[in-house]
Amino acid sequence: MAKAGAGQAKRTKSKVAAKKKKERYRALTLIWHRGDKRYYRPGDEFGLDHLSEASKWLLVETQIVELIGQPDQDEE
Amino acid sequence: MAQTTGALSMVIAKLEYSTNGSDYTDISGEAGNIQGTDQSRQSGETYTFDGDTAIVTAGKREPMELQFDVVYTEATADAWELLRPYFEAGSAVYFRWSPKGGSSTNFQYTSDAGYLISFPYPAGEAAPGDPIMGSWTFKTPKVTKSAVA
Repeated sequence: MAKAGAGQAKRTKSKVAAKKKKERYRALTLIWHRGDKRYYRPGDEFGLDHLSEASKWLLVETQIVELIGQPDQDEE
Repeated sequence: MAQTTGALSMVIAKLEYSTNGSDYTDISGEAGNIQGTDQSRQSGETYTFDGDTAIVTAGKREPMELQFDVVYTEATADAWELLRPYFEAGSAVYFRWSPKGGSSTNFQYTSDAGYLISFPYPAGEAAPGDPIMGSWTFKTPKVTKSAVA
């Protein structure tokens, strides 16, 4: 019983991690993506896994990018 | 209108170069001045018998000649020695700079591929004891503003 509980917790943890990883953003201006080492034009979609949560929030807040959700999260 | 609180100086600017447009090397520790960042657009004008002012038309943007003042050093991993072969071979390079230092949300200005068209070999006088400096001239079609993410 205890084993099943641990497994459940593990699955939930990995689900949360996967969800975090799949956050997608859309460029609202021309951006230089330091993780991918390339430019993204306005409208292009990408992840920001190389940034901290604070940096992502700041990019959204300053309207450089917008969060477009986690498109694959329901497939888990 | 209220006075701006967003003024910047170039004291923490970041200057980088690249040989392929995607992998950049920071040379802020050796460069101390960026100039020639103004770009001109060709224009024309003519007059007709009617009217008192010119008819003005706009043409293409002229290339830019950016200037970077760099400290002369002799280490092989330093900017001077890294860029000298590109001048001598006439190979294309890229430069970019960020007034606020190139962190997330900062603006960044990136050149197209261009060429170092003037590269100074070390020079100076005996008396003042100043560090040897040199001004590189880099010719490029344009620079593009972006935000760093």
